[in-house]
Amino acid sequence: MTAATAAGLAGCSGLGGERSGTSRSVSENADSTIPGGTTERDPETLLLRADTDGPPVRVDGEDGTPERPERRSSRLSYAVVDTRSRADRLLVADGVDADAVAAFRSATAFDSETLYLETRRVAECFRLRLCGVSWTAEEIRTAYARELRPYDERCSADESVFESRLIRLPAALDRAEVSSYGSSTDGQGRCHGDGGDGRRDRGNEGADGDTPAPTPVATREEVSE
Amino acid sequence: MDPTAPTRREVLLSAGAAALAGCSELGARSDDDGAIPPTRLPDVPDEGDSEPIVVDDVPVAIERERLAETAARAEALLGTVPMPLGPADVPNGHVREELLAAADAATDRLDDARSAATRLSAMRSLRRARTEARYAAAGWAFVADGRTEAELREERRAAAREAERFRSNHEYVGDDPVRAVVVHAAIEGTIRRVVEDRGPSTGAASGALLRVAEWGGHAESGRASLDDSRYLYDRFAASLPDDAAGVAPTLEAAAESLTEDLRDQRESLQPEPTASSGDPVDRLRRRLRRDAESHARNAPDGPAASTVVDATAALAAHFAYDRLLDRIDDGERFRAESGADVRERRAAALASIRTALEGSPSPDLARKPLASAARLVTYGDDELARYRRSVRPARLDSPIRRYVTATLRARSVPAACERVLEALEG
Repeated sequence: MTAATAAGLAGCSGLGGERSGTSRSVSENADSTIPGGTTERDPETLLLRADTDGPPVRVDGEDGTPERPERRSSRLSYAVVDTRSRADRLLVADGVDADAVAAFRSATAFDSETLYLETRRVAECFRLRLCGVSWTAEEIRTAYARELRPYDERCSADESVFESRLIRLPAALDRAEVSSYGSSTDGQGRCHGDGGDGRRDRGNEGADGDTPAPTPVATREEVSE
Repeated sequence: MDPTAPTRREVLLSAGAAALAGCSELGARSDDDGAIPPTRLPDVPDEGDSEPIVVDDVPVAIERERLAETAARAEALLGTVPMPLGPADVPNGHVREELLAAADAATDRLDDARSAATRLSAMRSLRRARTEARYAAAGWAFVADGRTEAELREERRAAAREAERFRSNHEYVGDDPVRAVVVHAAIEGTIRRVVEDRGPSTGAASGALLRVAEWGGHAESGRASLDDSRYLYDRFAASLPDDAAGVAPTLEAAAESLTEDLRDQRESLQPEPTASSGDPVDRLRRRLRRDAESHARNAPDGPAASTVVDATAALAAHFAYDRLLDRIDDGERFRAESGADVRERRAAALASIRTALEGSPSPDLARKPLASAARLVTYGDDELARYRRSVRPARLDSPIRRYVTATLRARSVPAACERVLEALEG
């Protein structure tokens, strides 16, 4: 599976968010806002998380890899689903709740709504929280916070899984018009607007007062097509 | 680091053998671009293994029993965590690994303490051992006993309150002002970590268990720093004759006079050159100037004893900058042309540190700035240890800079001590 390998290589660095082969910047918190765009902090979303070989959900005929394979990214795939016929081409991997996908799809009014499908890879002991999505006619951005799963949920520190999200945007976008995609992840588990409670410097008990380099708190990747 | 990867020494040994056999790519190729083969570089330990030849110490007789008690505290904390911690205990593999890593780090710090060159550095390693051990123990106590973040936050706050009280009752006891200033500065530095409470780096990402673990480590670190400060103070006070008069006026006057010196020196610094290049001379000049400036600016921020002790390093940084300017005037380029250049720079740094410790008018005062110079040498060593192939001379600018800086600082320490002693003598 080419797609799965690409994401595996992109991996996540464990400490602070995820690396991207495209562009990378650091922001205060994960923030999806596009200036002049529409932003939803809590869009209607269907999350499918699975330990599968490939994306839990993808569009048939598209392997989900961004067009230029050198752009390895923790964001494995993204697709704009702007028509019912395209929605009918959504393929669900074995073991994933296909009924939920079917129900979410049929509840979407494509004359006034669009589905945005995004799949990411995440370490098994973590999960992503969608902080928000922002869009214009040409661009879609998402933001996530990476959170540790509860200590009593069994998982392996060395494994990763896929999270596919179908996000229902209350706007009729034209897939052909959308040319730019962006996504950021906050490795400290905070969404923009969560409040600035206590991200502090690590108490420095080093005998020499040597200060460790700060960890980037969020990474952002953007792709223009 | 991959434990199965050959160490640098192994690589070099085999390269040497291959060179003898006449088939080496690594061996003695220094012809074309002036590249220096690694076999010509100083024989440094593997990366991370270089130990400073001087470490900080304090003129207080720290008892072996006291260190053993602290180690026992760390071991007792580790003993509360069931080992090996498995998925049945903590199902989340990431959380489990964090706790295991802390337990491992605690064990490493206990080992460091056993092999420490001075009792003070053993004491510091043990503080860190306690902190790491408590992290693991508190994380497990969250599972086993329902330990809460609130309890641990309160424990840390209590330590900070006690530290505040300790600090406001801190008297500059002593008879010999030099010995006293070094001891009191060590105590001031240790207690400051507890009072200036910044909290651990917990985030929403870490989850409840790891937040409890972090706060456990933080509470322990506060308590350990407070314990050590009290111990050093009491132990020092007990060593004094009954009629020791105290040294407060002496320290305060010295701090004041040294603060003035440092202000003058800052004002006398030439302005920083605006043009910057990658030239090693420029870089050294820029760095040592910045060093001198920031040391002089920061030294007077602390309480009196710390000001005096930090002034020693600040004066040494200033004199080191002057020495550098002289050597630049003499035409030195500070770029290695051969492996022998690097070996000489490193040997000079080590010799200067040793000589300065022996030749300083006050080894007690000299030790801290010399320990910092010795640490610079280990940073240079770590950089060299990364080279397993022939290297262009410009790539060695950074280790050369560290060795040269260490040399200049070390040679400046005796004069800096001299000035501080004058200030203490009034």
